[in-house]
Amino acid sequence: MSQRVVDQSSILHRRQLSRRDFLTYMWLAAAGLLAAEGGIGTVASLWPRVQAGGFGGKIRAGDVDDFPLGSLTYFKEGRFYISHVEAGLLAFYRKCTHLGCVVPWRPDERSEDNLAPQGRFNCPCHSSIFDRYGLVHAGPAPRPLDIFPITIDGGLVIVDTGTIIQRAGFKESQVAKV
Amino acid sequence: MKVVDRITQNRTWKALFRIETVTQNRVWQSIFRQGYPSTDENRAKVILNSLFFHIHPVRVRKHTLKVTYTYGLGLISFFLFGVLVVTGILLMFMYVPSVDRAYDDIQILQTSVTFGMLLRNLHRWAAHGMVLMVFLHMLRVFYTGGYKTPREFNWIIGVFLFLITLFLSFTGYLLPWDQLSYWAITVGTNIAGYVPMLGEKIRFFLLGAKEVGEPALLRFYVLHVIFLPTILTLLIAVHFWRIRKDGGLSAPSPKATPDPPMALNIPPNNGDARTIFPRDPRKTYGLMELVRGTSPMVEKGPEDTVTSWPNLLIWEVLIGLGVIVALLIWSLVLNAPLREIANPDVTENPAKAPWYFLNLQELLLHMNPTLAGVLVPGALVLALIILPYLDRDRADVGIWFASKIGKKMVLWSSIYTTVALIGLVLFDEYVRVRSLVSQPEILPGWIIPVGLMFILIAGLYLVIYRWRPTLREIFIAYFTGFVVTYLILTIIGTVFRGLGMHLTLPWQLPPGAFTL
Repeated sequence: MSQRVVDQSSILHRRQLSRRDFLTYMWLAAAGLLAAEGGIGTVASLWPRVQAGGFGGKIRAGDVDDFPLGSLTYFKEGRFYISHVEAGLLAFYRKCTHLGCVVPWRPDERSEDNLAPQGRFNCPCHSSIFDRYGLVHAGPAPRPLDIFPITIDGGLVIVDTGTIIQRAGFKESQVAKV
Repeated sequence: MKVVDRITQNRTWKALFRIETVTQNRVWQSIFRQGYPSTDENRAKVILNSLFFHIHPVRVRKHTLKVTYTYGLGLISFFLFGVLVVTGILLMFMYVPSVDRAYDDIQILQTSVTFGMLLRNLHRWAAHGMVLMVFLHMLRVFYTGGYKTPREFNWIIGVFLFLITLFLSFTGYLLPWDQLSYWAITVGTNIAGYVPMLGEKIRFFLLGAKEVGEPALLRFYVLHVIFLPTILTLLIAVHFWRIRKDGGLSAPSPKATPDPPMALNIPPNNGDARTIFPRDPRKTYGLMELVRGTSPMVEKGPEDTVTSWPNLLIWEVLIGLGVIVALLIWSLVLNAPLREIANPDVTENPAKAPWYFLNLQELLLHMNPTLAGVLVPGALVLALIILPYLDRDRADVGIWFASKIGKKMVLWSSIYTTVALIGLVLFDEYVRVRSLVSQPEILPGWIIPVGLMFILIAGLYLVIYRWRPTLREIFIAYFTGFVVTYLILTIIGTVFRGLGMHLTLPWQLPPGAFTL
């Protein structure tokens, strides 16, 4: 008789959650939920409201004739370069794709492309070298310079600095045909 | 003489100028509940009754007080943190974290504020000193086996204290808003951007924008003055508390103590322990207690201790004073650097991080940024954290370098690592891996560096294999490898990297390439 009672209670314990355990789990779940809400809420309220740092609109760079073949023009406010390669125009974001240093154009250094004898980008941070196509010739940069889309409207060159395009190499489709 | 006597040899004078006048009154005795700690009882009470002293034990092992065991490195780090809090709070009165004002405020601080330059120097050099001392403290704890059972958890807290110290230094580095700050933080946060999957989001959240600017300055300021110091303070509290709970500083087990059993037979004046545990030749011995350990503790006080007052406290005072004196002299001699105001259009050449991050920056020259900036440091931190759970043999706790073989490990691992690293850096500079294999990117970026790392790790084992090292000795060899790598890369990055981060001799560095 007593044996049966014990058996039943042990079965009950195994199958059913005791009220105490249930309440413990609920408390833990509530605490976890609270912590998660707090964490997510904090991150959400601290999440930056500004997109892109000031620049980010469409910028008129000038007339097509302002950029002869092989030339490189720097737009400080727009944070980009315009390069005229054989296929057409490219607009490079000035940030090194390695660690974000501003890549200065060096007109006097030996060229790494066949468009001109001199001129290339030398990153001062980890000495990555880029050519007029934005391609990497030395250093640790993992991909070519990022580009902005260019539209040419009646001879006027317009660069959309709101869209940063990452690329693996140079393709004809990246240029704006002149 | 007579005049002096007349003044001093009377009741009024004697009543005024004696210690009892100060201590024998209700006010004093309401604050200090024990007499002057000249007896063991009062020396115990002075520790127990004071909030500020009670983190100390009443009695401390003689071994703990040996300068050559700890070199006071943890204490020095703690005092430097104290200096940083005090000078930091003073600096907060004179600094506004906004792009318009930050740089001007620093210039005004240096040129117009009384002792302003000194204040800034103290803060800057104390921060650098703290990074160095925390690192050296970690070396001390490792090489003496202080991370072993039961101190595993405190070692982990120590690892986090080291990381937070680095983050504190890093966030503070942006605040002067000069070219040095701007580009060091640009490079540093770009590394965060290479965390797989979440990287760009983390960087965006950290900076509050796509590039370093006003939001980044404010965020770093808040992290630097409140968030990180609070966490650091809490962790320091736990760290100290755990020292007590884990049985004080690590020390060799009694078996390894060279003292003969008659160790307490020492001259009466030095016999602090003697008063409590007198050596009595007429004494008969019986089995009183079974304790852990392998040698009889007859006629020794438990663990050979002395009272903390004054034996430990005098060291703390001396080390504290020493830190302040050294820091003051250093700060009077050397000014903290300040370049031109931050200019997002022009990157400094070379753009260098503070010296303690140049090891990381050196790695970035040679491999994929995710590997150099995230995975390698991450793996190292992980290795440090799991280390105490792998190495469980407690036989050599408290012995520098564990054993004779351990010392050989340190020597040969240092030589091996030095030769290999310098060779690799020279190779990548003058032959260049990327000029041999540049495509596909995964080869020079990932496969070759990872392969070389594994070859170097395996090679070190081949070097040390002939001494048949124990697990602990193997760990000593690899830890030494890590330390030497850290040091060599830091040195190369600091004084051998010039324009475009190319190798340069230290005396040919361009102006501005060497900055602390």
